[in-house]
Amino acid sequence: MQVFRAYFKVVRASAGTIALYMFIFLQTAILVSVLNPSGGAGSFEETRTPIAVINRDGGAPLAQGLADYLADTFRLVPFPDDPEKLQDALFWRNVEYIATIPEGFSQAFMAGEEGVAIQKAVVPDSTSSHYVDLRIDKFLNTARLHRDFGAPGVNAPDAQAHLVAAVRKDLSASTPVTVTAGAASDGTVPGYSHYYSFMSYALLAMAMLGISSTMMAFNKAEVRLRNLCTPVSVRRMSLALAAGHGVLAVACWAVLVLFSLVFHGKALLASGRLWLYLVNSLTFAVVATAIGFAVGSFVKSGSAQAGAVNVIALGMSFLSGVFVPQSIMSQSVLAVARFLPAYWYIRAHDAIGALVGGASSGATSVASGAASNALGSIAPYLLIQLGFAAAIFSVTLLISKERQLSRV
Amino acid sequence: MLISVRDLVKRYGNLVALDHFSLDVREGEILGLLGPNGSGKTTAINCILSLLRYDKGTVEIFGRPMAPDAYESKRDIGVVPQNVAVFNELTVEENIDYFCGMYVEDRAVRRGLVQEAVEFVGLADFRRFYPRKLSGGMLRRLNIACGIAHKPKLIIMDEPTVGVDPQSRNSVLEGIRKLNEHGATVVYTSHYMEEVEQLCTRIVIMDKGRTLATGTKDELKAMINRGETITVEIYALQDEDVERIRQLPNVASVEYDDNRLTVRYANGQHNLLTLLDFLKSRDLSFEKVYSERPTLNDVFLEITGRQLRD
Ligand SMILES: Nc1ncnc2c1ncn2[C@@H]1O[C@H](COP(=O)(O)OP(=O)(O)O)[C@@H](O)[C@H]1O
Ligand SMILES: [Mg+2]
Repeated sequence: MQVFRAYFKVVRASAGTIALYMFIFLQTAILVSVLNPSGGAGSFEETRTPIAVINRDGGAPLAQGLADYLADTFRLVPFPDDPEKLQDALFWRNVEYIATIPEGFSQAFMAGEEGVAIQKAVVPDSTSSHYVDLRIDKFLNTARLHRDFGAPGVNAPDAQAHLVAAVRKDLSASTPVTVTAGAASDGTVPGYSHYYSFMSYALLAMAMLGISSTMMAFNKAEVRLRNLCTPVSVRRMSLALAAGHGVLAVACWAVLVLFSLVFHGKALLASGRLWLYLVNSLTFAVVATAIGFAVGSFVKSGSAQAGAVNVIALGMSFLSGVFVPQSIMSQSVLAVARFLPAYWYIRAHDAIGALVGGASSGATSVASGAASNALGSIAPYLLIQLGFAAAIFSVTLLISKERQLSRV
Repeated sequence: MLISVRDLVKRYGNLVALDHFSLDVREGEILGLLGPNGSGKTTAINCILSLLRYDKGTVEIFGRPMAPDAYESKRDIGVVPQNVAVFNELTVEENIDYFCGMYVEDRAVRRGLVQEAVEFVGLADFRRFYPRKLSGGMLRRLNIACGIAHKPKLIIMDEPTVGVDPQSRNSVLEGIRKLNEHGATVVYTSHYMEEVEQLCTRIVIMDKGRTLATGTKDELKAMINRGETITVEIYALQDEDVERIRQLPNVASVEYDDNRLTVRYANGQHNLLTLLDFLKSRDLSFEKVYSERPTLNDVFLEITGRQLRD
């Protein structure tokens, strides 16, 4: 107990540096989530492009049908038909696209007259405006097909309503595809995914630092000999230190997880993948403990320790795709990275991200029935990480035992 | 016998650091292990404590064989190692509490012991200091506090006062005497003969891994055929006078150099009086006179032909 308590008093001495790593990481995490507003399937509603539809052809079913259709994909912001207000709305980006359906549009369209066109006003440089164009074109093109071929007489009283119904039927068949395109078009990887990717670096650096610091303190020749004079057995001593390492690593992990919930809690819970991220990062905490143990066993000076922490944490994270997606890294780098545990953390991480797959707009959670499946799909990566940890532990113990024997 | 060491042999490669070293420590004494640097004191202590493996010999403490897993024995031993062994990450108080806590589980009891130890070494004003902020002497005192806080029956100190300023050294020595009066048996290694002479009830002189002589300081001094040394500052002493002094009773050797007359006596009494009478009778005036009793250095010199301190 005495050793265990002293462990955390010793950690206190490096708490400043550990906190610094935490601070830098959180800063990065906040920056990334500001740049990449947490998209994610769960919060899809909020990221729909806001547009306004000014319907001057009110009452006409076709015009209304188009407006309804656009409302499926975009967020319709109700606006009075006041050019000044609309300009303001564009300027402040309350809306990104204003579509004005002119009076008589529906009649002209039914009659095949193409002179009356929908007018648009867009925010400059808006990528989503093209998308709105596409949707409007798609609706009108489909409507044209039905108008020219096969629809009941264009002069029938409810011709417009029929046309709209037919078009909606056609377009709804392809809805999943277009919505997927929508999700991909703004290229958002959810913020929490970035977080859990970068987190491996922070976890590694923090655990390595804390664990190696305490080990160096307890392994200092004078202190080690002095401890051997006490009635506390080497075995109990080692157990207490091991418990300290474990608690420290889990504490670092827990704090990082806590902040992930602070920043991305809603999206994470909605994604249903939180527990998979937790399992993966906890597994990696075991790896970080092993590496910290190795560094603490072999490093003697404080500067060598700081160097080792930086080189190992940063180097391994870069090579393993913690900072850039593995998908855009060169094959030769990845081939080398295979021999690093962080590579497998990221493999698992990417597998978790891919689980939702088709990303239909309603993809709220990995259904509980699929839970074991989900775990199964990342289990190999988890086991490889644990294998690395076990190997690092054993080799370290072996070498330090060898050294101990040769010293006396 | 609290400690009984028989024929320890310890080799570092070709170097024989302990050469059939034997030692007995009796309950209640302050035993001084005196020897020059490199004579094997630390090696002996570390072997006795089972911190080092040795090639031959036996060590018993409290009548039980000493071994790395002799935890029952270790519980009653306090160790003050030669190199300061503290955590730089813990404060003065936390360090003492840590080491004390390895022996004493009860927190309330420990709190009292730690306070006592802090005051014992005079670090009460530095409780919350980290070791880096302490002077060399204070570090030494902290090292001592860590070793004795749990009130062990047997205290083993390996050169605990190296680098401690003379003032705190005296208070440390005074403290050790107090610990001894309260029942602790003390083993104290040093290469300072004055310290050992002042503190220890029994002295073992060692050199090159061997025990050279054992006894109280008077016994040791009696072993050598030497009395006091008298030094006189005197000008223009004639050769014939030097020759006459050489003829005085008990005189072993006479030197006259740089206006200093050094007379060494083999033994006997009233030597100073005889010498002064002689100087008066010759009408020789002198500046200063002082007389020194033989020291352990003389003992060491006599046995080894070398000075204890080089
Ligand atoms: N680890 C070691 N390896 C080799 N030689 C050593 C080692 N430790 C001590 N020695 C040698 O053993 C002798 C005794 O050293 P030591 O016990 O430290 O003497 P003391 O404590 O009396 O100064 C010295 O000659 C020293 O150089
Ligand atoms: Mg020594």
